[in-house]
Amino acid sequence: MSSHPIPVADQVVPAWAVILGVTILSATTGRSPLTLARAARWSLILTNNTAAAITAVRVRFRNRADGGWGPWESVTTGLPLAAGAALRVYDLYGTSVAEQLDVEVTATAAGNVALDVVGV
Amino acid sequence: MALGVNGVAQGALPVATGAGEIPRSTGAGTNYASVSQGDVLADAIGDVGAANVRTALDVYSAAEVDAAVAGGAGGGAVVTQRPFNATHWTVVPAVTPSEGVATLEAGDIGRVSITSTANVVGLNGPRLERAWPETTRPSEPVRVRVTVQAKVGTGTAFGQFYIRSGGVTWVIGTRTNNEQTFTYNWAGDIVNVASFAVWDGTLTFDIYVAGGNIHFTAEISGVRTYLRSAPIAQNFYPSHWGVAIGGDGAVTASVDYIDAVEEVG
Repeated sequence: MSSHPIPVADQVVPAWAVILGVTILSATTGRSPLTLARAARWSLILTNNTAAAITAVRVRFRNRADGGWGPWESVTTGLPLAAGAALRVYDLYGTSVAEQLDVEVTATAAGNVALDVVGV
Repeated sequence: MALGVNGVAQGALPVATGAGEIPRSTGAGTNYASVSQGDVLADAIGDVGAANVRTALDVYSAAEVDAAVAGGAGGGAVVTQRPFNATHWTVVPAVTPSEGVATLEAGDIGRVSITSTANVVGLNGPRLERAWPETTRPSEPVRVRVTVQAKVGTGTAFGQFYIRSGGVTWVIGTRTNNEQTFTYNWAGDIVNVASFAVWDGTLTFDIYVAGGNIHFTAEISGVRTYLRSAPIAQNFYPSHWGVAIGGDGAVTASVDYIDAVEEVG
């Protein structure tokens, strides 16, 4: 028996191109929301690979791929996120489920953001 | 969904970094910060505005109190220290300069000195005097006070404290012995009030004019002695007040005065 649970969500977006200003993952050409696959517990690591700080991060969830999005939920810790720094976002109590996770960042320079989500 | 970020629950209150702290937001959409309650209180007062705080507490501002004391809406008396220095006092030389001098000494001490072999008339002797600061409220009470700090010298000298207007002068004073009444050397319309042989800084004279009467009080070591009151013109208003010295015969002496105060209203 493995000590590592089998992930139900396991996705990496190594280079999400963000603009100077607000960029939403689900609205970015060629990109889709991250899949949580209704994992009971999940964790997202967001790495700022732009050349400047990210000043705001928000996430939202929906329960099915063709369903409606819930409200944006703001990240209030770890901001501004310096160039090269990472932010870890997770469901605090592991008590909710969702099918998809959408991300919005407000950047002060165009560049790439890396997203890495895993859920069990 | 309750989000956690970097080990911190989003929207939760912060962990305090010291005693006596309370949370304060640092901006819309951000976490609270833990800061000292004094800072929060000071900022809160600043945000509310000092005037609104005073209104809530039902208290006056310093400016309002000053205005009231100065005879504004509150109608209080104006009490003004007049330390013995060139800002507040004028040296009036003796009519006969060889008879004495008045000087303003360091430490806000007013000193009048005589060196005479004959009687020196008070108003003609050396004096320290100041004009009354206003004439626009002649019906208001006025009060003047001065403390006799010291006397040095020999002979029969009189420390004298006076208030005057026109040809009327009221004098209260000290003396060096019991042989003479202290107004001996004052000419004109002089009122002899009382005299004391106290020179050690414990004697304060007080002249108070109100309601058509003039009142004379001496306070020695905190004990007030009501000396005399007398009718005075209802609209009497001083033109000047001051300190002087008198001498009977051969005198070489000086008297020091301190703590002059005038009060109007």
